[in-house]
Amino acid sequence: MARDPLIDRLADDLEPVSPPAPTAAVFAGWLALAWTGVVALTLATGPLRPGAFGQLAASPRFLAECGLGLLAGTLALAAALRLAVPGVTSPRRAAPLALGAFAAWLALHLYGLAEPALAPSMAGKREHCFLESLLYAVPALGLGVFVLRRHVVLDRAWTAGLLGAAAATPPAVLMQIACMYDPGHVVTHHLSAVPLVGAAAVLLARRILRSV
Amino acid sequence: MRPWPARVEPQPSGAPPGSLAGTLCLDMLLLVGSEGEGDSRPAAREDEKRWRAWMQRAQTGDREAYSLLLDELAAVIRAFVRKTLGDVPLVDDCVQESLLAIHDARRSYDPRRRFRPWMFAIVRHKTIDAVRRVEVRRRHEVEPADVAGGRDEAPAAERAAEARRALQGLAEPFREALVLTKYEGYTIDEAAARAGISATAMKTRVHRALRRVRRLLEEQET
Repeated sequence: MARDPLIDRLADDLEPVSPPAPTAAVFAGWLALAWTGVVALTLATGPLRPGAFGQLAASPRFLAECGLGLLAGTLALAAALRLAVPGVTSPRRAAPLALGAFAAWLALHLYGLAEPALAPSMAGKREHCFLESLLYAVPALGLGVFVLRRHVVLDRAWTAGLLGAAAATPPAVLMQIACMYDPGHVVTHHLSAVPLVGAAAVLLARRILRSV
Repeated sequence: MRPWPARVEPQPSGAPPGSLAGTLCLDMLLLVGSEGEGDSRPAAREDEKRWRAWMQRAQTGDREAYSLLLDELAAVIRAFVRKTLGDVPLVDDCVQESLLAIHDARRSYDPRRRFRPWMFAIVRHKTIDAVRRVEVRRRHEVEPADVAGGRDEAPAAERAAEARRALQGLAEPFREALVLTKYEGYTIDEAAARAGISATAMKTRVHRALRRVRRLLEEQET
């Protein structure tokens, strides 16, 4: 059979390229940088809620509320990074665990509407916590897009959505200890940033992630 | 002598693209995973080892290794697409689109990972893309007559107008590539010489321009 001339043309067009960094290194690097950035931004714009660390130690449910958020964001990031490599996994396999963790995180807070983990209080209230939760997610999302720039992402919507959710999680979790505690407020002002940033990332997926 | 790759055997009785069976077939592909990626036969393991080594060399700029790799992949992709879709005219498009996609994506291949799943994921993605395009085109051709009951006698003129609009939506280099090769009938080499670029770059531009036009037409359709 005659050889496809396209092969010769592609071979002629070949230039050296460097392979991508290992996923584990990207994962660890993103977590370290994103959390450092969000902590720095949060502390730069106001103090943490007085006694928040004591509350973490005293209330296992409050600790679980924070820990589950941390877990959900980490799982979302892992899923997004795995999805960004062709052939490693599919959204059907990668997403359920992260989405389940987010659902459990939300469910814990919804349960808290009836039985709060801590006594609701206005102590530590930040005036613009909703805006902060949204804005602090942007650098983390940008960092994720930056590290994925050399990947070809076959499922851009899922990858971007999970990356967006992962980026919005550090500010949402940090607001648990930086802003006032009231389960209703937490859901509407802190956790709501997670689906919003995730949805925005989905809408922007075709622009921010490269595919073939 | 190079060992022959462990091919996916073609099945000429495959379902045509766009049919219910074809769609189900694609859904199965999505659910089950890619053909041959979990293949543990010795020949498949040999392919994996050889392809990975060639791709690693290609990433350093080794054209000979890259030619060998693409030669083998073209045959394997052709067999895979035939097995999935049957022996349809779409096969050649899928093979070319897949090779271009692999070329574009080569910097994203991590040599620490297996090559076959990476490659088949890209091929599956391009195959599904191609079938969806056929599906959209078929709807585009059939629906006006169904809806209008023969009243719409001028869909060709309408489609031509849509194609012109889509062409206008392209960036200048891509529009030029399409006009030269598809409207004015120049060969790739002639068009490349006229545009002052390499033949490979022209081929890539034409492929991308066609893809963009298809997308624009699909968007107009929806």
